[in-house]
Amino acid sequence: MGEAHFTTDPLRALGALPAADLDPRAARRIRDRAVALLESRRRRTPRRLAVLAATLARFAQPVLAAGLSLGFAAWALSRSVSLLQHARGGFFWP
Amino acid sequence: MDRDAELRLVEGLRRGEESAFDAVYEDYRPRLFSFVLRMVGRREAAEELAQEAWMRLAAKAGSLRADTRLGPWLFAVARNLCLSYWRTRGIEGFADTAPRALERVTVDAPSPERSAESGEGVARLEAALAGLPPRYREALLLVGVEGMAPGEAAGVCGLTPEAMRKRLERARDLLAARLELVRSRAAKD
Repeated sequence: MGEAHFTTDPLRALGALPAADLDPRAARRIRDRAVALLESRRRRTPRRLAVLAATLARFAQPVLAAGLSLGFAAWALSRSVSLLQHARGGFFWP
Repeated sequence: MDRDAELRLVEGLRRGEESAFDAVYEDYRPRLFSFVLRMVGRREAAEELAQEAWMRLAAKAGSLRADTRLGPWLFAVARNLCLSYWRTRGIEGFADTAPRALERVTVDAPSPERSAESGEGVARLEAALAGLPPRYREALLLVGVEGMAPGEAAGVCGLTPEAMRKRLERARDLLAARLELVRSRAAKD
């Protein structure tokens, strides 16, 4: 790798540049922090799912009950109107 | 690293495996750090930016796409961090620190067996590279040093392949001119 090599094709010559590296202590510190973050993210995913499931379970029952009540009330009202119409032999509303 | 091995590592990262992270870290740590150091010119800043890049990989590992190419992904993150670094300090400040980068990269280089002549050649090349505007430097570093295909480097820099080709041409010319300049200065000294 002499002088001529660098001047004939600068782009190719770049491939010969040496790589610098972090000093070992910094490299270890960065690796440990990143792995700790990776680990915490991995643990957090199942925990999030569990929280979501618990929240759904908590709210699903009252929501379902309210929905059923409303549905039954709507059905009963519509049935009453229908019966009244039938009893008067025509449209209930004049 | 072949593509199958890379895909296995991506899968491991998505599952949050420490061993996958370690393998990627071993493979890319010096390359990523060199890239950042040559881009920002200060070792302390380069350490911080490299750390941030690795933390982002750890934070996003679970949401990586299964077909992610790790090299372009990591270098794109590092490049964006360098851009943010410049934005907060201004590009003029960066130009002032470029010669220091040259000194540090060359000093850090593990090259005791290199001849004096080739060592000088490396130093001049580093000097010429450090004097280039960042957008040309990044193109040369990604393609020339990292060996990325111009299309991949275009993706990292957010350019079309055609725009990257033109930028590379211009960068190569500029580098050759800077090399001449550096050499003539050295000859005068």
